[in-house]
Amino acid sequence: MNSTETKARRKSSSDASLQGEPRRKSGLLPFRKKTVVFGSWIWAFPSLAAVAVIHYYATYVGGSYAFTDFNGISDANWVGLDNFIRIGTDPQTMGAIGNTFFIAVIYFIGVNIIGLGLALALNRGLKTRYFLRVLMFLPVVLSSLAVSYIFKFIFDFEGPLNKVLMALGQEPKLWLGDTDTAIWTIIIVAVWQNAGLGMVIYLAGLATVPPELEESAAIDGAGVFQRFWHITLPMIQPAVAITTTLSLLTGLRIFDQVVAMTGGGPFGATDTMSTVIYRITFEYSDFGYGTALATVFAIVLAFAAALQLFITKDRSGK
Amino acid sequence: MNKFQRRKATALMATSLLALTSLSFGSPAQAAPTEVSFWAPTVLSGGKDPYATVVAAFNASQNKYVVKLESKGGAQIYGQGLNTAIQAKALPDVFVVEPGVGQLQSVLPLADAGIVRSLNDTNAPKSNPVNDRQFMNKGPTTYAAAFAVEINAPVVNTTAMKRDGVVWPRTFDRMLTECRAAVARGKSFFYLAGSQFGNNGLMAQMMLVSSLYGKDPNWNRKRVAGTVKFATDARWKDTLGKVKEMIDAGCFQSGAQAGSFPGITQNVFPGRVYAVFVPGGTARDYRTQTGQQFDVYPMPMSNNTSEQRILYGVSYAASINAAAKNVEGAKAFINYITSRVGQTTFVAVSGSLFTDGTFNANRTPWFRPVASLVTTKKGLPSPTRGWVDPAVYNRLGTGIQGMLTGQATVDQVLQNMDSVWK
Repeated sequence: MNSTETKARRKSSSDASLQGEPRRKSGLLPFRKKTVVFGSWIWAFPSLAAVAVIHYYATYVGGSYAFTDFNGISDANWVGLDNFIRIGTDPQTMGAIGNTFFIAVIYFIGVNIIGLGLALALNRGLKTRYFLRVLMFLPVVLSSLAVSYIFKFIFDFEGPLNKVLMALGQEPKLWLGDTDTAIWTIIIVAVWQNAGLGMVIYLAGLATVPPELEESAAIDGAGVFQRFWHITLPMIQPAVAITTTLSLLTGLRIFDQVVAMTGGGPFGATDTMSTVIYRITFEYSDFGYGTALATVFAIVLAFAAALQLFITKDRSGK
Repeated sequence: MNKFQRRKATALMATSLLALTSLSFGSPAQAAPTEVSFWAPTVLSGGKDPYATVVAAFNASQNKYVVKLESKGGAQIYGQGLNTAIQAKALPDVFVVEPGVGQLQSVLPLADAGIVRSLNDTNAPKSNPVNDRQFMNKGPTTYAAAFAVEINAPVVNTTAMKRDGVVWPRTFDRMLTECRAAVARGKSFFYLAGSQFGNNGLMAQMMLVSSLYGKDPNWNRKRVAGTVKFATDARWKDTLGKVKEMIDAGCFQSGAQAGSFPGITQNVFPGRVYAVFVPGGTARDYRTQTGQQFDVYPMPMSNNTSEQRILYGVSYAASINAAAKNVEGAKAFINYITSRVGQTTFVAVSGSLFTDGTFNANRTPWFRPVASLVTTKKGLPSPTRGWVDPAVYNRLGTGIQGMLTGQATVDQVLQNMDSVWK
């Protein structure tokens, strides 16, 4: 290589670095990129520090009360794992755990099936689909407490639902006072309010499915279900992952509907982990045991979310 | 002197005159009143807040201190707010507490933790009702000053009862008969907010005060000592057994296990039920709201009327923060609320009674049916004030709901209570 070519190569290389492109295989990172990387951390540091202190450190400090007998007033005395051992022997807590998983599973199925069904129905074709989408999404933006109190009035023994039943010659039911039906009223209200959110996420996923693909499959003789199973569903996999994870976590954390409609009754039939933790911590002032329950519950939620994401992850190899 | 100099001289004279005038007013110089901070739960009685009324009266009665009231929500929210303020060391000078133990705002745990100050240098020790002092004192030291005394017994729509030709029963068997008769009339004798453990628990207390604590006032101390238990005590079993008899006789409305607080007034106002389990002072509000006669009657628990008792005690009291900034002002306020003048102001709004037990049936006519029990000292404070763990009261209330649904037996409810007793 002569000196002119060498100079040209060096010039093109330095031109490239001036334009922000990395130098080619010279062994050293450009000085500009080191500065940019270091500068990014400086800008991000305040936010990271805030998250670390407000979120993680506060959680750590709060969680440490799980190993004490703190009652909110007196000093906290170390009790080791006593609070965690008590979880396994407390019938109220065990009942609440069972109710929590039952509500979460039915809620998960309801929100996803109804949400997906609404999304498929309102994706294309219908002229009023935009208006109907707004209608279906409206309950999501309402306060869950306000919705729950309204449904409590509807399901009341002397409420309008029983009046309609009696007008039809049926016996009125104790919707909120019967241990068999109370938990279903909670689920119905929660699914009713949140199916619209599932619909919106699935609609976003369905928007990425090219209609030509389905049309060509239809021309080739694929049925409705075959097109859905082999074309639509794989293409909306990200939406499925998001909606199933969100609905599972929301179902596990249901609180407003229980507090407003049944208070955890009748006789603990609708108690969930969230309501039990609230009652033990703030009504019984047993901060130690309540924090232990909350810690265990947080671990369960994290595990459930991780499992859900693993099950729904993209395995197409892209 | 030119024009400018004349104007300057005039301004100087006017300023001097104004300064001299201001100095001549308000002499001798008076100190501004010092502030006393006071927290209380939000309470409305007949549309008025009794705490706000007594604060305004105190402020108007003297000019040395001014009490600033902050209403901190209903009872439960108030307790949580107080708890948060304790953590943050941001308590006011004076705040409302409950006698006994078991609640976030109960005074005895606060006294144990050194959060409240002794009131022995105020009128509180003499003013507090004798039966309630066990829940407001630690040994010889008083930590809370009672505002007034409440009677808690069934509040009855007397107008509706008389309209249907019903006389309030004085014995338990007679009450069961009236319950069945009410069912035959298409009504219920009682409305029970069965979904609320507090309402179930209040009903139980109204019964227990006659069936157990009237006969053995030291039962709670025995339970603390471990010499008695709920599950093995004959009187506890008998009392909850009577609840079961009332359920079977149709004393409560259909679907009582789902009954709610709004349902109380929705049913008792039009006379669909005759009686409800609410604090006795509520009878005055009901009279005002409906124009009907509402009275407080004793809960008949025995066929022997001499065993009849009523719940009679302090619901709310005031304590001084051990770290209060204005101790003298706080003490002055405590002395005012425990004085006859202060209590007259408070009870006129709240519909309660004076702490010294004086009873004027003309001033509080809704208490006439229980007047004889008050004047013959057959009133006892709420027994649950001595239950350390609030979970016990919760299990009692939810257990009664379980009995209403048929899911729980008397024995199961009592065993459940023992399992959480500390």
